Amino acid sequence: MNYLPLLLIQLFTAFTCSLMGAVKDTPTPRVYTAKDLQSAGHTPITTLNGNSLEWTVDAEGTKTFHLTAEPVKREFAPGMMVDCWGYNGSTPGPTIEAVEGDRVRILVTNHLPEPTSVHWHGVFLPNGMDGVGGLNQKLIQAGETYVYEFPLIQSGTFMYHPHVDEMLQMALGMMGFFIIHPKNPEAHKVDRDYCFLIQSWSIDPGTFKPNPAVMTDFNTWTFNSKVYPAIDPMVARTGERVRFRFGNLSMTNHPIHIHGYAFTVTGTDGGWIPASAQWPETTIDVPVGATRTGELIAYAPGDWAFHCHKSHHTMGPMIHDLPVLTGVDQSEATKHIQALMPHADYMEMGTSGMHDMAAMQMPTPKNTLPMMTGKGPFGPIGMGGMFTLFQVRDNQAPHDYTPPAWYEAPKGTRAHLASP
Amino acid sequence: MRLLQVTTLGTLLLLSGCASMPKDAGFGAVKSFSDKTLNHNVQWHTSDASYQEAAAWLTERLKTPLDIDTAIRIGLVYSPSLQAIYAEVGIAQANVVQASLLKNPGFTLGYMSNTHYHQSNFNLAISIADLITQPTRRHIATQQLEQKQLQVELAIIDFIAQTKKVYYSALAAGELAQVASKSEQSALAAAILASEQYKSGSLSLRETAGHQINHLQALNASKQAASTARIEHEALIAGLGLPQNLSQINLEGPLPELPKKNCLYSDIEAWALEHRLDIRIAQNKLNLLCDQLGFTRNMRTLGSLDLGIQNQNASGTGTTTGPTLALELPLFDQGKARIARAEVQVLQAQMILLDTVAQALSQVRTAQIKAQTAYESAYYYQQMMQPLADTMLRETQTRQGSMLASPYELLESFNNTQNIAQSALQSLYSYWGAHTEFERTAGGILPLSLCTNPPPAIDDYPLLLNPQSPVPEESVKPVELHHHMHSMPDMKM
Repeated sequence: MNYLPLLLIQLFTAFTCSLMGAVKDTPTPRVYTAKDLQSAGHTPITTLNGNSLEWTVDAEGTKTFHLTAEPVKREFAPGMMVDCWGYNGSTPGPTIEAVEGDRVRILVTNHLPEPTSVHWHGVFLPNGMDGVGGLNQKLIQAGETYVYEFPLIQSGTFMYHPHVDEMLQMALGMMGFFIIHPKNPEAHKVDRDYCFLIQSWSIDPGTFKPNPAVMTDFNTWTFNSKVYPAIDPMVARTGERVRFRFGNLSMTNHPIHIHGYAFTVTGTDGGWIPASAQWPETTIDVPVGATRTGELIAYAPGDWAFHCHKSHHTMGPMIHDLPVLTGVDQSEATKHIQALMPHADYMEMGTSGMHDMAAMQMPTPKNTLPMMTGKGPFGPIGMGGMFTLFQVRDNQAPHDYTPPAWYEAPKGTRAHLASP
Repeated sequence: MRLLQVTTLGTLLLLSGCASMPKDAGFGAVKSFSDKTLNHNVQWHTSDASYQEAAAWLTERLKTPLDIDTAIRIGLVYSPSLQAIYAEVGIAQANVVQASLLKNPGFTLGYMSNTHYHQSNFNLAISIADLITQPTRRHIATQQLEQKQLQVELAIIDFIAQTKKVYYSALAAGELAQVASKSEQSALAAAILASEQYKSGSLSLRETAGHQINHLQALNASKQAASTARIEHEALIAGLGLPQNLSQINLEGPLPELPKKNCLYSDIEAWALEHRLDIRIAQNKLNLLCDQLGFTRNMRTLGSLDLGIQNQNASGTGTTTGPTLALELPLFDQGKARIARAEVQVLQAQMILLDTVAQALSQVRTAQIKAQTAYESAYYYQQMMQPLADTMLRETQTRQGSMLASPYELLESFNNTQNIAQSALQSLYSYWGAHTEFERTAGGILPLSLCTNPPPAIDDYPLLLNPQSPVPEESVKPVELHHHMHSMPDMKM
């Protein structure tokens, strides 16, 4: 085999690269952030436990974003680190925020060990930009950077995710929001705009790598790849209009429920719902591969629970083949087991139910989700997984996202022991 | 038959007069070998009082748990079977004494008379053949005594090895019974829990019955193991030949630990060649037959020489008779056939010696391979599998404590540790058995000076678990818009 052509190509490449290096010394373009959207009158998105992607603008006004697909480590909850894949160091990837009418250019660099692509879920765009590997484009090989460029002709709540080896890449956490604000900042105006992506994972206790092969037997339930109590609470000032955007890239539907309020369902990933067609819900069922948008006026102060209503999804870590021990007299068996175990501290579990799990905080295998460690002012909340709080206060300053202190109920408005 | 003058009688008496049974009856050499070379005290009781004293000592000794060295000592100083074997030396020694003695002279008394005179004579007759062959007989008998001493020493080596094996076996069986009992307890706990679940309506009759079958199987296995332990104890009692009032012994367990390092003996064949008694016995037999050939040649004209040597196996203790010699007049048989026979016997003994050497060297090599393999196997079980099974159990218990595993899974994991413990015990027992056999085939002692330590098997194992395996660090922390609220104090009502 003759290596000369190869050698020449390498020499040429080296020369070109050094030329490009010289060209690179141009002034750094201005970097835009969500604050610039705020200045333009839009309400920036609050991505729970996350952030929005910065961009630059070229001479023609095209907004350029840069996503890097790469392995990331995510702390799902204190003491539980997960080996994921994501974008720009995070799962979910940063939220892309743009405005209807913008032309966007999105560079996608692949730092994964296998090819990928990005599909812009719900966004109306030219077919060649739709991102289905093999169908609309060549795969983005490891080390390559691809350019997606299209005008935004709609507004609403969309997502991005890979369309190559989807099962594995999404199970490992590759996903993100693509929010397009209406061109008119006054349209669909809200005071606060929260978003989170729903995902389910299978992570064997004691491990830190999700199992992508699992289809139904998940044990970890996250909003934005975090587990309560690590999920940021959502806060509002009394009287504010608040929007919640949910995206579901897990393999089952999730009925997202709010306490003390009813949402008005205002949008899907298919677009805004006309006011006449909007409907009230306390639980918005988010289908698989879809987004839902709910809005409300924060009229009632308090610490309101906000969670998936599938009760297993607010627990964690979960296993599904435990024997039913509730109401079983384990005392005799326990004596026998205690006599046998070389390691002390055998305790019978579950005789009177499972709430003790939240209260006792038993040691878990290494790198296992903490056992529903959420603690409220009156004791353990006994919730893990897909659970957070909607905290409404009269004195919460506008644009202040700092979580307030526990809600103090006015006298006579809190449940109490019936007899003195 | 010739008559000798009375004057020569004194000389003859001098020749044989020193021949009497030595005080140790020939056992001194055996005792010295056992006490000093093998480092195991041995005693042959030639009086009932002495034997009763030994019985009293061991009865006292057996009130406390029996360690292996004491078990061997009890056997060597008490076991009736060994005492019977020791007696062989006494018999051989008596043969030496016998061979040193001339036949008692015969007296003849004659009386002749007729009417004219009376004559009486008194003659002392001594066999000239006896006189001529006496040094030869003595020489041969001495050689046979030495041969007998070697055979008894070999029997002692074999007895020690056998006692060790039976002792280890009894010890292992006892420990295995304990393991089986723990497995049974574990199955019992599961069966109890299952039956409580059944009562409270959360386990089906089918599953509950399954747990009870598991328990009964474990119970059966436990009883079998206990029975085996009793039988193995009985084998030790039989092996030591304990008196009838001692039908139970307590052993000082557990099995000795696996040595820290494996021992590979370099050039163990040379050591075995020098120390194996079966080789020396075969060599001695060849020497004896060579001597016999010489005597047969020298005395061909005098008649046949029958040394009365019997073929014996290496550890055999069959009785031999002292040499006999008969004189004949070489009229018809001039001894050519006897010489030819003796020559062939020498050739045969040479081949037997060669074969004994070949077998011995192969045995010691085989025994070394087995001991090495057994060491590695025990090492794998003890140093690797048992800690791993224990890790599994500990992790399962953590899971059970955080309701990620059921008590059944915990008991299953416990059973796994017991299964591994059982195999570990069996492999440790195999190691001590193989080590004992290696020691026996090397001649009763292993030369520590030749021991080299091969690298431990664990060094070659590529999949070692690092329990400190790090959990990854968070790659890039996203910008946190909020502070966590959950470190706030409890609210007072």
